[in-house]
Amino acid sequence: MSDDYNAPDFTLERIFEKLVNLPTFPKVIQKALALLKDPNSSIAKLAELLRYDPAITANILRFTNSAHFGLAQRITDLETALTFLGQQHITEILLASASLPYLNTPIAGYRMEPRDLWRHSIATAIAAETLAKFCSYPDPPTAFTGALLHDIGKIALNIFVGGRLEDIFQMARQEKMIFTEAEWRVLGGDHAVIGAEILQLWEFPSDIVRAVRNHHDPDLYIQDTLSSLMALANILVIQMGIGLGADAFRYNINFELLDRLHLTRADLHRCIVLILMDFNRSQDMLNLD
Amino acid sequence: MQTFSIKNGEMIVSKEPGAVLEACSVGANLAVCIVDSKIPLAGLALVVLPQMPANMPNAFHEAQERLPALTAMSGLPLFFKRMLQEGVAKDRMKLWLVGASRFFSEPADLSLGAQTYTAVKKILNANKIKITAEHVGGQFKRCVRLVVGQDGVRIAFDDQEVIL
Repeated sequence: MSDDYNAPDFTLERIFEKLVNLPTFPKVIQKALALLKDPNSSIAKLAELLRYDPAITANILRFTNSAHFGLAQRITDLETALTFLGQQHITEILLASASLPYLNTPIAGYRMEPRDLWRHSIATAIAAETLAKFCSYPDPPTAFTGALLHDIGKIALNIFVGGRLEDIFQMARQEKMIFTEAEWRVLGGDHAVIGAEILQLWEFPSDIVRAVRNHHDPDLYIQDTLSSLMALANILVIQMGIGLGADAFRYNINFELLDRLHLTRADLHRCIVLILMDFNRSQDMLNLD
Repeated sequence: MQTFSIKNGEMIVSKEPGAVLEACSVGANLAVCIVDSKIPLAGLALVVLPQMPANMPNAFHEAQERLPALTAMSGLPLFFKRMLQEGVAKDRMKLWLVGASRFFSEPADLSLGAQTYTAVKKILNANKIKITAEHVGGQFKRCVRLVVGQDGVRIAFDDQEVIL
């Protein structure tokens, strides 16, 4: 382990310089998401866009024909499948398909096995969407999208400064320190800041970028509803123990968080049951290639 | 030997000597582990909530059917019943509690681990069941493992391992 914990070496600046080398988020997915939000668009246009991507087509057809829907007859045509699924399911499949290559990776410094980050991200996305609906937030799909990508910064850290993650983990453990504080002490930044930077490079909407930036900062996430929803979703999924990293419980929670979202303890328990059931279903259905 | 991986709200009881019961990434859930000290018999239940929320829509009934150990109030009595059916004797029973991790600071309404732990302890006390040992609280990502026919539970956390 390094001795110079207290000497940030501006690693963050070097990481930012390297972020442009990350593979970009697939343009076809971004175009498809835009079509889904466009009231003047149509399923036919969406099918036309997606039909040239064999992996996405396969995933959509597999999801449509999964046991969850119990269809008497198999659907083999993309446009029929898209019509059957509807906007919410299509969005979820597109995002899950596009994110898997990034999220399905071991991250040794965070003590995450392959699939841990994937499972954690899917569960947090489901939790954010469930909470958004429960709180009558007007745009649950945005909560889903942001939450799915909330820990994308961990992947960049693993790629670019993987060796230093061990220092962060040991510092947080030995000094009983908030994990993002240890990240700042060692790197001069944290995985939430880096994640937000990546999403900005990928041209995600500013409210998603902000919520990803805020998701571990109790003073920041309390200031807007989407950030609060994503922070709470992450907290609940950590408590449920789904895809935990070494940083899992090493954070503070803002004591006003539930009031900010007008939620009671009983509401939370209801949401946890719904999240768990939906997550278990998703594991059967979203077992993507 | 067979390995049973127990997820949130599930319970497994096994009499197969050498079979492994494990729950990885326990989080704020509470793993209730039981072995019979004389015969090869062990069980593990991973409890998520203290009790089922009121005003349950159908989804909650479905949850309780699929996840029998989801709550302490309904899951634990069922777990004990299964253990008794398989032959555990109360005077030979060893019980460990593992999990209930917490954030550095968290409001009471969000202290899920503490809420579940309190509910489980209440049920154990009411039934005069003693806790052999426990490894609860803290900011740990824990994995718990027990082997049918062997005494003790093995807990992995923060690159360490302890046997209770």
